[in-house]
Amino acid sequence: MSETTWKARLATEIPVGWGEEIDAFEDQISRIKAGKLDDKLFMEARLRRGAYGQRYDNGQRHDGQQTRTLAFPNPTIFKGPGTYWEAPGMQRIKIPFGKVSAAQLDVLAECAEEYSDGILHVTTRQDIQLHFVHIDDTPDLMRRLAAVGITTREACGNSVRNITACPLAGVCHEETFDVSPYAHALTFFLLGHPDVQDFGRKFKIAFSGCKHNPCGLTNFHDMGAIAAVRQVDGRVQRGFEYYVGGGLGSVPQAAKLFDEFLPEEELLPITQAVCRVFARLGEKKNRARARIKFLVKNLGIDEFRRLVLEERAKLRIDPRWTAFLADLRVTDETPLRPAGKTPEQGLPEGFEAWARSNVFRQKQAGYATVTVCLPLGDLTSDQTRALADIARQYTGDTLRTTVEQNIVCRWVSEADLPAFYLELQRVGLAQPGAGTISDITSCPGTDTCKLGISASRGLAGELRKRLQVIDGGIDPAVRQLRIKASGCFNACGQHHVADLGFLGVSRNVGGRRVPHFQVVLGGEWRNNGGAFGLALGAIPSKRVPEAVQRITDLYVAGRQDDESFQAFIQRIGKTAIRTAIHDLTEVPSYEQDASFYTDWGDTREYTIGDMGEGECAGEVVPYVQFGLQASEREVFEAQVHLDEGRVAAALQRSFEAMLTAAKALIRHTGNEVSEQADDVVQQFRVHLHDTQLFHDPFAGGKFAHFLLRKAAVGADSSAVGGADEQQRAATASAEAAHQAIEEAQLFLEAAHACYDRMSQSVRVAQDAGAKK
Amino acid sequence: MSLSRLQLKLFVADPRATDLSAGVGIFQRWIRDGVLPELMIDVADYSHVHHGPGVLLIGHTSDYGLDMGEGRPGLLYARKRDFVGELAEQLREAFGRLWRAAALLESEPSLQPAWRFRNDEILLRVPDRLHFSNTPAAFATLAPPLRDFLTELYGEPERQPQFDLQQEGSERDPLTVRIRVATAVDAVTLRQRLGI
Repeated sequence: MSETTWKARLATEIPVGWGEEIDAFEDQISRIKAGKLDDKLFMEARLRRGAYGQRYDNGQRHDGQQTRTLAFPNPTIFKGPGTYWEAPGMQRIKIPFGKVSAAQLDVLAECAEEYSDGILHVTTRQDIQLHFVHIDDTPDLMRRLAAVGITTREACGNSVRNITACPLAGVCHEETFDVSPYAHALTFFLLGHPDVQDFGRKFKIAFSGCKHNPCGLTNFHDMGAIAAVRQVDGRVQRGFEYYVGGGLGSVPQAAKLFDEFLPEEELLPITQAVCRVFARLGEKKNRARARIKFLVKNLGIDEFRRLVLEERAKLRIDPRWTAFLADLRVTDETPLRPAGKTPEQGLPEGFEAWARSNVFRQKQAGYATVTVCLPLGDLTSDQTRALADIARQYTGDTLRTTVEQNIVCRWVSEADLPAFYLELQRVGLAQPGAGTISDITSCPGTDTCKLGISASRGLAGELRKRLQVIDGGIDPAVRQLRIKASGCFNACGQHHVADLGFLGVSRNVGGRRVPHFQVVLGGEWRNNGGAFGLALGAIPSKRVPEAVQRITDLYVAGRQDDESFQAFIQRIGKTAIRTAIHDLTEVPSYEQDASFYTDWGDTREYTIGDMGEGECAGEVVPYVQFGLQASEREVFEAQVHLDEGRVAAALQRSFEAMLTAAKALIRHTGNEVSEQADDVVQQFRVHLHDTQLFHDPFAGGKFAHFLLRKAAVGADSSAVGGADEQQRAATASAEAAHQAIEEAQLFLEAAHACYDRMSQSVRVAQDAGAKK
Repeated sequence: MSLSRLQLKLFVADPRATDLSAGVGIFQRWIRDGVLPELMIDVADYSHVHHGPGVLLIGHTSDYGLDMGEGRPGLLYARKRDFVGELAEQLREAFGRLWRAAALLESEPSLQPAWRFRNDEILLRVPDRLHFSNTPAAFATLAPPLRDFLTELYGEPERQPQFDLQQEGSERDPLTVRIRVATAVDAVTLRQRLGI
């Protein structure tokens, strides 16, 4: 039995910066448990590390008869307003553009076993989520992931979320070019970037290799980029059709075209400029209107574009904008085995049906991409390890998660397909039907989400079961339809762009609540999520399978030639559909059929009483507060260094604490500043000292001079002199360090006061503006 | 020696008993009626996942599952936090909770055919790779106190219990030990010895 910690064991494997961030988060956990940190601040901090709340974390749960209190231990400690510390939560794990390696799958499997319920869940944004995770376990979970190159930073919270991209990027016949290296570059450019820390809401980015297929879904993202090329002076220039301001939610909006052709070298700076405009002008008080889609709508795309270009012109040049273009092969994959042909004889039973739906022949001759269909996006730790081994044997690290909650394995030699199929079958991962009507996408809904109104997962599970049973008997036109279910209007299940979308709602029938789903038709999955459906009426949850049957029967009976489902709906009109399913809206009385009063997969009588405060629109905590909080930690560390005799370290840390506070305030004024100490000091002088913003009403510029003077003489300067030089030098240095710590503390107090004054000025200006 | 996490699984005697559909209702009722002497929070249905956790009753310190791991239905007890005491004490507590839940399920009318648990096979896992890797060395550390506990649990005055401990799986798995008891003791006696 070894005695160690994950921190110690993985010390040399975790990237330095990532390790420090996790240590800082762990420190925040200690501080909040000691009552030294505000729970609102901690909530935003943990959200920005992907540690999310789950249903019942407010300690209330309806048991089918009444709401009861869950007696969590340590009831005085909270991880957010009204969120008990000991309540299990969800850990969201970013998988940038879905790319995941075999080694990463192994660690994900371990974490699921040790910290969760043994299940990995693939989301509609290519993330992986683990449920029922205790907050105390999250630092070690993050360390283990960091050691294999996975960060959870900004997986949730008011920042840039996981960047998604076509899972077929690089192997698709129809792509203009492989968007993977661009998604990769933008991911790591924006990760932790100062300009993405002050948003009023989340920001979602998607890449697509082509315009017409659904894989990228750029049409409903805050920012979407579709690969494009043009000829310039005989050379092919790469760029993007660049879109902004899309979004789903309760009222979906299509993204607006920002630029018909944004050259590749402008992708990062323009996105940075978009982020700066969003941070500056986006709504922050009214969370319901704080997504960028509202800002773009209010300003109009032309004015938004003007503001972005104006911002772009002011940006300091960052070499990272174009450095990545020197190596666009960074995300390339090399096949493990030679190309081949699938044999025609001796194929295993079930192979052909599986191959019809789950095998995509790549543009690279002799290779195929296999879709591993995951029921409701779930797989076990054992299945995950098995999939990693299968990848090691047949394809190498070519796996990607998909927004349809599956995993694809690229670069499978066509000659290996039968054997690959058998390997998947052995571990229960050879379910056919990828991309068909039985491959249903759903958000977690009432299973675990605080905002869930109806059981989207339960419904998806039931539909899946029924559709799989009749699979062979489904009309081909129906078979290729998409069903998506969301537990509420926030649309995490992306129901707006499904052929058949379902959105969880509740109805009162005879004084009792009954779970329902709005039927949403007219959505378009193709063309990057090209059109949004509209609800035509609510059906009781238990009648939805019947409604699906009726609507699809209507389609089969009434379609003209090869008319698409969307065109069919448009032609016959929603009124006709509504009439066709009208009788299904009836809810029998409780005495006639009590099953209508429970939801799919849940035997409790239905209630909306378990809904809680969502964390997707979490508390807006200005970034400056994180900076000031980090500065406090650094001052404390300086004290620890001094206590343990590390004078030089104490001096250095106290100086760094002042720099951190200064940086936070500089950014709060809207100005840019780098991480370089010289730049921080200079910007502080210009924007906070010379303007007297930092001046204390009574002490004037005294506290500002602590930083300016220290920068002038050097952080580790100390007075040395006297007869016994070594002894006196040590004493003087300790004294100097002590003084430096005191000055840093006073500087930090002045920084807090400065922030308060700046906030007051904003409030006064807002009030004055309101009065006008 | 003590553990921070431990899983124990009992296997259903009748392999036909694989219908988990009643599991959600059973566990929802356990929460409502406070059947177990610990905080239980929610029910998670994973019956759609191949050889998965089946239906899980999620608690604060422990989870219970109508588990389908290895394709074999059974009852899983998973202790995940606040696990105090020395190993012998921990094993006694964990086995006690496992068998208490088993007794409840065996008397559960909605499980048809009825679930009866074998008392001659238990799967033990320690999902704590930091302290226990799935290696012969880690197994050698765990085995002696485990044997002592099993001897006490399964021992009879007139004979030494015969059981076999086999470490299983690869190094990537959590420490996994299959316990096979040749001299099985009836369930009622086992429960009495565990103080249930």
